[in-house]
Amino acid sequence: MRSPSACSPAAWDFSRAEEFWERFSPLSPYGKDAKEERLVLSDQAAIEALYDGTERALAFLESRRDDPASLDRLSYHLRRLPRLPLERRGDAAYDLVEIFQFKKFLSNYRAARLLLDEETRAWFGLGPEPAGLHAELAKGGSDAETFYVADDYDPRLRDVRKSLARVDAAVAARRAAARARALAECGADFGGRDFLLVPRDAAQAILKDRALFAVEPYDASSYIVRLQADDEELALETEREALRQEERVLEEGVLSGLSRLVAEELPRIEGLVAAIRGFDLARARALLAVEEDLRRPLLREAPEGRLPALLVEGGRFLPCAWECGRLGLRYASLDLRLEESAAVLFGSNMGGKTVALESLVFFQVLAQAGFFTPAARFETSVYPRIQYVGELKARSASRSALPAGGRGYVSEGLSGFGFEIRAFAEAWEEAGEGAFAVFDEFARTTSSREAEAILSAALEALARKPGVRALFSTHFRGVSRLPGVRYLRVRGLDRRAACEALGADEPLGERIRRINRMMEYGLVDDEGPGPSGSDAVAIAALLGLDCGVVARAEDIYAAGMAGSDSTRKARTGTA
Amino acid sequence: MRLEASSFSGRVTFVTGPEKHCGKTTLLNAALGLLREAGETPAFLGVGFDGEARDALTAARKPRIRVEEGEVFVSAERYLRAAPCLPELLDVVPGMSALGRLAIARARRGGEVTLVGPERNELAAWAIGRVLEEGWARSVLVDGAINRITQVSAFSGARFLFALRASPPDLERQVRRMRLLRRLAELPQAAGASRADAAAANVAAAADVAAPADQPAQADAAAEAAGLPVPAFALRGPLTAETLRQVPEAARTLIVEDFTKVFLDGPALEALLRSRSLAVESGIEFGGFVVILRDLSRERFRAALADPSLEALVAYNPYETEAASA
Repeated sequence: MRSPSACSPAAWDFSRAEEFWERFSPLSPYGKDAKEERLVLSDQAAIEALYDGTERALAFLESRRDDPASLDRLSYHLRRLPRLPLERRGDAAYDLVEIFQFKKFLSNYRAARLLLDEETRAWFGLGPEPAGLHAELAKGGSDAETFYVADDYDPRLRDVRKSLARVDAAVAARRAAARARALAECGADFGGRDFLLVPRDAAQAILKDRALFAVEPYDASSYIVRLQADDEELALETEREALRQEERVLEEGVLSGLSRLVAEELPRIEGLVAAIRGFDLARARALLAVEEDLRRPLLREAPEGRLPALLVEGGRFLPCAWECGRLGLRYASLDLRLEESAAVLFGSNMGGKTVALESLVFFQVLAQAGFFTPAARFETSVYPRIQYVGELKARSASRSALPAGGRGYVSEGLSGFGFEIRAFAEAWEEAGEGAFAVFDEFARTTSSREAEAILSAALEALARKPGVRALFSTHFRGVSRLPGVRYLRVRGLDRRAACEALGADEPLGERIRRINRMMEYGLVDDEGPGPSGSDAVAIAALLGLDCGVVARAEDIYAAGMAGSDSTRKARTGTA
Repeated sequence: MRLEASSFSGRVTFVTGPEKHCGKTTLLNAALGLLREAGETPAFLGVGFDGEARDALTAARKPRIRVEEGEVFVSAERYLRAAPCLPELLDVVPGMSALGRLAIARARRGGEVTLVGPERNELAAWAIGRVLEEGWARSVLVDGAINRITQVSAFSGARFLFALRASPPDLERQVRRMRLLRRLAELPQAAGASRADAAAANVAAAADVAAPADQPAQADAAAEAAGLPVPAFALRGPLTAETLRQVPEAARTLIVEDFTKVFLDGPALEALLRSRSLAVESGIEFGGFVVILRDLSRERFRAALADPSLEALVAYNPYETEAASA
């Protein structure tokens, strides 16, 4: 069954959107619940509405730039909104805790709302709280958030509680007198304790006064001694129990009345919950937009099924950029204008082609999840499905328990190749109404010739499928050159710098940093044979592969390239 | 050791014990009494449900818990509604317990209460955190679940008291238990033993190669800083007879997260300590033992302890009168 999200779990994991999601911080329980859904939408109008909300929240945050204290107060009240029991329950009354939660919600909702300007309130539908209910709940509690069934709800409660206080005071006085007598007459100092352990040989006086003390054996050498209630205290206890019963009946009556008021206002309260959730999420999106310099994507519709261009200018794949920052590495942003519905991305191992694909899926997932994107310009369409086929590293424990494709074929005994093909078939099946589909090193598990054949056929089929944007990465260079398909490659290694570094005797971590510094991650059109020499062989050398093996690999690669180039020309008919 | 108000004032104290009817709730009441006499309005809570009038196993009458005006406690909605102390609700504990929603409440008048607390350690820590953050009380007492000292580690900075009963038939067993607990509570601290080297791990991840073996270096550094022998090994999770077998032979110091993760009996622990040093990453403050004697004199108990330093950690039954303590 298709997930309610437009993004497959495999595409979610591949995009590393989870790392971005961890920084998305709504504060209310309603916003947090929505965050947990990880919803990627396929309804353009709904997505644009989220963008509009983010813009409204940004305008509000900007208007409060000189008043950070008011923004802190807003956060405080959003955080304190409780989760309400919103289910319909007929005539059943709300209990004490639930009534408390309604009061706390209304109190914090009101305070949060008062901190917003009129335009923001109107945009998110943050109407006034039900004043009658709020005023009624405000009667019970020593401050705006706490609650108990206060005397103000019913004058009879005040009378009963006065009587209870009188009885309590009388009981306390009698107990204090009994303690004083026990100390004076028998040396038994109860202090704040309700019983004592008294040695048997020291209990003679206590044993003589059974009207004052209740005595029972503890062990062979001591007694447990308690103060005995006298007749008057027992009468007071009886009176107290009767008063408590009366108080309980009155309290139940108050809770029933409050329950009726809550039930009447429930539809309105549901509206307030939806509104505050919308604002909370927009606020969190806006804060991320400010922190990470995100911009509103431009969503273009597809006229007559023809996909508009996919455009990225200055795109920053944030999980990678953050990681580079932590490691002190350079991060290169991504630029791409893709008019074609399909593209193939060539590149060597560790050459950055997977990162380029990850970046594109990341931008697409964010855009369809209603977020602004980390790019100076990002123009795309809304796809019914975002898919990924390829290998997955376990990144987010919550979502990547299964390999890409997600149906556990490995456990069904399929080989790596079998799994890839099943995952492709699944993606094909789901791409019927359109999809943003990404294939990372598809068919890598079979021989290069077979892989090139399968890749070429898959590419041809997907390029013809209406509403599908298909992006492939591969290091197999014999893929068919087809009309309507764009062929790209990662610019690759700065070979001169790499050659100069070959002799360096550095630890592994520094070598990796060096590769990163020498790699040029920009995408360029791949219109013929690549630069002389293999990036993969050069990287292998940088990582410490034996020099003799490296030199021989270079020779074999050069011979192979010459052969395959002539074969390719013959196959495609180019001179 | 003497139990005084200052032992509990301004801190979070868990009262734990090894078995039912060992005196935990009696000790809680005594501690509450000390704090009240010192003019404090403490907060208190239980772990799980402990509100029956009689012990389910022994049918012995259990001590009642009284709350005074202004004091803060945790219970379930059904008990709050019936409580004579006119509870004012302050907050609701997330989630649901077997007895319904739990709430933090303040008593508006004195009365007896039924404590129902969160069963999960992190929720107990949440409730304690709320009490302290909001300034509802500055001293918090927790009537812990039996035989679950692990709950103490859930709230950073908490200390614990261990209540136990001793009588002639179980005297030797209780003394062995006390020696083991003291030994664990006094393990040396080696902080930072399992902190991963994030930068190295990320470089490795980028290269898709195995993570460099930096964690042992962290453990060694922590052990050396604590004056313990190296190589050291930091064990995540419980130390049991099974996990002990997975510790590298060469490791001369074994570091666990805190002493509540040690699940070895006395002989197994002694055997381990003969061949290796054992340390904890995080220390948990131990306040001492509160011992309830039955058919046993203090002299005989002291003789069984045979260790003045261990006896210095003992407070006797707070309900004994002076005359009974000779």
